Amino acid sequence: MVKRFLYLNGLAIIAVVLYHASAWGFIAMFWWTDRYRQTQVPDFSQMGGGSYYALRAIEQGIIFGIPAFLFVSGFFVAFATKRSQVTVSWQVIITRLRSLIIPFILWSALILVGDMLQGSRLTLSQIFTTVLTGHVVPPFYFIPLLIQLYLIAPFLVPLARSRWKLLLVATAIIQLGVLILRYVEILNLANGILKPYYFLSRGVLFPGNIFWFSLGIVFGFHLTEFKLALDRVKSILLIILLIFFVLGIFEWEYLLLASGEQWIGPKETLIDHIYAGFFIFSFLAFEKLNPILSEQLATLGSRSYGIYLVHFPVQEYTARLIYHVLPGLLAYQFLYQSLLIGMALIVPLIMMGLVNRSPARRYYEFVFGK
Amino acid sequence: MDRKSHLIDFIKNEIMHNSKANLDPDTDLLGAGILDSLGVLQLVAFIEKSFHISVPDEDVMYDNFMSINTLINYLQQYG
Repeated sequence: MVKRFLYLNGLAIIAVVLYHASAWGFIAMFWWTDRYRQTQVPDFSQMGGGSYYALRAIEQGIIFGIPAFLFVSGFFVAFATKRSQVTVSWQVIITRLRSLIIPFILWSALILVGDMLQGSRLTLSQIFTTVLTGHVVPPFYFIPLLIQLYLIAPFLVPLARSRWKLLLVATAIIQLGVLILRYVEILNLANGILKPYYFLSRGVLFPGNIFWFSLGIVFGFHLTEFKLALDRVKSILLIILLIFFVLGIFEWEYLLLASGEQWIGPKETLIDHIYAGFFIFSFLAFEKLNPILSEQLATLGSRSYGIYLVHFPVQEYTARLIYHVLPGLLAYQFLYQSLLIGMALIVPLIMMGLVNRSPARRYYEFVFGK
Repeated sequence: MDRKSHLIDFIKNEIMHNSKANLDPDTDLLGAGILDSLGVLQLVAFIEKSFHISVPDEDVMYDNFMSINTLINYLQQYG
């Protein structure tokens, strides 16, 4: 089963790339419509059409990406704790953080320089805050989030070992609280009374994802028990997974309607998180079923951090290039998506390959992480 | 090439991305930041593929993967 974690990581990075490609898809559909037809933007006339639901289905199906990354990271923490140790050592945590932070700072700086060359003006304190909160590009929130989770890992490990059920229940309640707050925000349920607390539901803060990380740690310490339990219920897991996939599609349509807005930015909901959990469990439960292209999945999985750091700017520049040079392509989501996804996977892999074959190879870890 | 050299080569080339790196067989791979979550999984996949050894999940633990030497000791049970 452990080898499947590498495949899961490979699937997770594909999921993240697809998720952001679909976001560019919605931008082309609603905000760049005037580039391929006579209209005023935003133009929401394509909402409810085939392309819209295809993008929504993709967005829904791959919502497991970040939970899967956190789950695998949690598993590593369990692995990195010696049998004789009470908890994971700070030395392991610090070296892990170093390999996360250096490439993150480097790519944040490069992207900010690119933005500044295009006219963006930020003060030093704004730069500092933007980088620190992972706001340089939307996906970067994940790195400060992971850093926070690694920092609390030494406190989670003793519980994951001895009182794992309590840990899972407690972290699930914390995460549930954040997700409920997110519903309150989307639907404006409390007439703005809770507005000062909405920041707590931001993805960059650890309470919103603490369960996935803790689950990974617990899974690592109690692997045999989980394996047996998952094997017994694997068919049921798959059925529930499909149910929550459909529920997720309907839920989002309902939230959009109930919010009174024409469009709301993507936010992970409780249904999304349940779906993500069943996806992870289902994938691990079918241990003997090797995914198609498993070698390639393992390769992507092992290079996931580098792809994660580079894919978004590549997608952004590809989308903007298409907007200016080939605007007609924006109307054809299949082609547009294929280009965005292909470029976001291939360009980082080429860059990693080039660095790996150059004298700069010794600095690979600092550029793309491990 | 023996298992030890194979492992050292793999870790240097695929995980450290530095074939000229100095890798002592007793170096703590996690403590030194050489292995991370994906590195461990890559190493398990490499052992299974190259040495035709199926590593039981329960054996994927720090105590077995701490250094090249502890890993070699662990793999000795497979002949």
